[in-house]
Amino acid sequence: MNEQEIATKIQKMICEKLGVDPEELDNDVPLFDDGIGLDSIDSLEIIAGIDEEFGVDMTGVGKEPFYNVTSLAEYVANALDTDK
Amino acid sequence: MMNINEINKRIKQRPPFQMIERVTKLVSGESAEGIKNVSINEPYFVGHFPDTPIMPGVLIIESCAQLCSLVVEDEPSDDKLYVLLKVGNFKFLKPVIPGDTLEITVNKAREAGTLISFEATVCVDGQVRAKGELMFTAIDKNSVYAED
Repeated sequence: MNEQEIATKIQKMICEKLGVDPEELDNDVPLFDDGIGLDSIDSLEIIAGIDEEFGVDMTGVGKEPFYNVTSLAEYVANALDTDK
Repeated sequence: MMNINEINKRIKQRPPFQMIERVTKLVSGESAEGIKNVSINEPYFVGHFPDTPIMPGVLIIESCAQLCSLVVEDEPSDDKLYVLLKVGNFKFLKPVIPGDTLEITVNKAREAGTLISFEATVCVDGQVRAKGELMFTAIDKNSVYAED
């Protein structure tokens, strides 16, 4: 699975689980604060969703990978690569 | 089945905030069924509402949450606390009034990462009065009053 495919799955997961409008969520829009305004509970749902979808545990990971869908996909791709 | 004394060993809530009085079925980590009797003596009926006592919806949710806490924790932890994170899609189909017995069922819907979600249904005389979803996570008790 390449990074773009991972990003597409993350985007779909965020829209489904957090009720975000797909038109509002491109890969580069910031997820928190001034972006689409997700909060700390949403971040826990993202962690849970990524664990379910890819088997990657992001518990305790710093803020940077949560900046946008692209950075999340990059983190997941690296983690999956490391597991190989 | 668990009576009130057995429930008290497992949860920390006490009157007037004890919202589960009997557990009729418990599958640890999965599901539970429990009962809450609604009496006119409950303190909130004084103000909600003076002429038309109705059990507040938030307390029906609390009843479900207390039953969920019995499912997720076999015994209270000294350092960990399960807290309600999110309440979703709750509907209150018909008012709950004094004399009703809430028959509450909770089923684990999802467990992923640090989150546990439940689907809850509340019936009176077999008829659904409320239903919805609750999400919990475990936090470090010491973090609750820690200064930022």
